[in-house]
Amino acid sequence: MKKIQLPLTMEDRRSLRAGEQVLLSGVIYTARDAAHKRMKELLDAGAPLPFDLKDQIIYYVGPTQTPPGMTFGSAGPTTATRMDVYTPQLLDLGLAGMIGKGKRSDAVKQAIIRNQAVYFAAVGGAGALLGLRVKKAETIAFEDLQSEAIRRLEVEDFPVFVCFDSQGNDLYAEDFE
Amino acid sequence: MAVVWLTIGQDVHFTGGSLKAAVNKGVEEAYQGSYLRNSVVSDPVFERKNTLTNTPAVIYTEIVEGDQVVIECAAKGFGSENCSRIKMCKPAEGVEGVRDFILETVKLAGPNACPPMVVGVGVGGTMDYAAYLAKRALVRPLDSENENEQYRQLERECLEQINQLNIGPMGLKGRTTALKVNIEWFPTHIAGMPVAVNINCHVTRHKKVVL
Repeated sequence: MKKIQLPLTMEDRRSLRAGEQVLLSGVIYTARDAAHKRMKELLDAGAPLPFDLKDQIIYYVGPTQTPPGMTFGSAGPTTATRMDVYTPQLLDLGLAGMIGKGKRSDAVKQAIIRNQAVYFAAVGGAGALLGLRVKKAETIAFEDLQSEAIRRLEVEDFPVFVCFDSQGNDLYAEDFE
Repeated sequence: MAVVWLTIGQDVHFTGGSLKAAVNKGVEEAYQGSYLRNSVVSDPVFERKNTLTNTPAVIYTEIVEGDQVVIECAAKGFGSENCSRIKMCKPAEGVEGVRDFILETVKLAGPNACPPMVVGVGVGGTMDYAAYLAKRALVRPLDSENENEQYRQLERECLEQINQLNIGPMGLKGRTTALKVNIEWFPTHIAGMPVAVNINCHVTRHKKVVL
């Protein structure tokens, strides 16, 4: 399995292909429905985002509460489709990739190709296992959103597969071989 | 979101407080005590503020004969809930109409519903009751068989056809797109044939206890 050290460089982004299994290590940021809505409001108001999107990855996840003695709770991917309305703008601002599960809109796919980004999927239902790959977690914005707050995660060998690559190959396409 | 069914024998009398409050307290304690995620917001459209307790639960009660209380609980995920659909089919559409709608719903859900999925179907009743039956169908055990021969056959046929859609686990292709199709049915109006399809992910968390 290919190992990648984050941030996700342009070289990595161009080389990854749909269907490839990858282990990610480094920093990723969590954001799902409510956090995306807030980021959109910040951008509309001309305000800065809580973190610099350049070469970064957003993980669509709302983790559970962290049990005592553990670094992080269960943290499985949520369906990416709901974030489609926000994603093209974030990609155009430098976001390098997203981790989720499920289909993306044509607008997102075009934005991925246009910006040479990558859409990864993690295995849904394996949240408890995925949470163990989080080595450090810190809430950096929108704390009132609880599970939906933006967190900065340091992950080690976080398992994902490439769903849609910078060349437009789509793992979910009916004719994908 | 927690969905709780209480099937209450008519000889049972609850004392010492509100039944609804007791259910919600149980849900809160279960979620906090097990460090599960608080996934409920106070208002669906405007405020959308996390209630921090995972309550309120969706609670259904049914009064039956006897002196038992059956509690069933499902922790329903919404990636799959969002893939659920309802159609007021015309009687003329027949069994083909039901089958086509189930298959179409699964196809549209695709990788979004965390396949291999469990498919709950409610047929008949009214619009709302068909949806209720579809949710009930999701908590029927995966190794159960429909008591009605024709519906049992339809469940099998639908499962077979769903597993030929080549969606596969996590949408990565393959023969296992659904684990089970459960159909619950109820008499309906001469003019209608409501069909509701409630999708669940492969985890399908649910539990039943009898008091």
